[in-house]
Amino acid sequence: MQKSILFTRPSHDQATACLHYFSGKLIEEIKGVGEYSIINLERHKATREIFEKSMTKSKPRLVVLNGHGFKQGVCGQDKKIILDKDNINLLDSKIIYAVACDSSEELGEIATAKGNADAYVGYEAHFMVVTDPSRSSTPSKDKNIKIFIKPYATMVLSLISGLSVEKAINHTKDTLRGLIREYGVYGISDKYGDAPLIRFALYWDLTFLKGYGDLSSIV
Amino acid sequence: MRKNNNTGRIREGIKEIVIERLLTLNKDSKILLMGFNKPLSVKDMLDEVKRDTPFGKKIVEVQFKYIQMLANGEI
Repeated sequence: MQKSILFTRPSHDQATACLHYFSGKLIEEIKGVGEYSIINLERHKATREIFEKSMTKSKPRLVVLNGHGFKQGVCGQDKKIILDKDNINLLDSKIIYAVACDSSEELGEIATAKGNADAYVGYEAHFMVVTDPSRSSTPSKDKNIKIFIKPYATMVLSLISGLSVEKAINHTKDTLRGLIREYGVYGISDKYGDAPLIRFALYWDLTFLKGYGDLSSIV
Repeated sequence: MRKNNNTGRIREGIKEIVIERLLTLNKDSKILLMGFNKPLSVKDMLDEVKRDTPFGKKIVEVQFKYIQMLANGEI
């Protein structure tokens, strides 16, 4: 039976539009591989009701949550809560990658302890991305945010390539370190003087990326 | 008591270093943060640091670690 990956992909402001763009690119890449079926809950489909139905029906092994969040939950379209402690049991036996602010600080523990998720990967603080001031309303044309696709995608691609959660986290951290080095040493074109801030944001994401649960789990 | 005063002074010193560092960045550069409705400029980040908000304190903590890491040649 083909394994499935569920993505929530709200897009209602600049931050969620950015993650919507990242996840769209990643989905294209995964579809190219062809080994996984994708459940794509984008925009108006990123609701609590559809999320709950999809999780129950499709039983995805990997769940990628994009959007705003808070210490005990993750939001979908229009900042409406789709996951919190009341439906945390949906995460039973699953691996979760949540790119939502603050969500891992408490939800990571809740997801694994109460929800019986195999593993939960998230950010203990707001996930940070630097925008190109001249292109900030169009993610596909924004050269700065494109830098952040790489670590975002590395996490998921590492997981689906068979690495354990721990190795996928380490691989992603290595990618972030590599990008920091790249932006510090090589002659990167830096028209707007954003490179120092990009390095800081990459370091920020490196600092707060954290895994919970059984980190030897594999997808 | 003296230890507390020293710790407070060190913290303020670190904050000043981070503020100086942020002042070297393009003040119009912007970041997107999951959880904030709109992008924040470097100027907004400076305000958060100066006002000692929880986010501002995190900026200080991470910037300082980042500066230390650069100084130690870890990356």
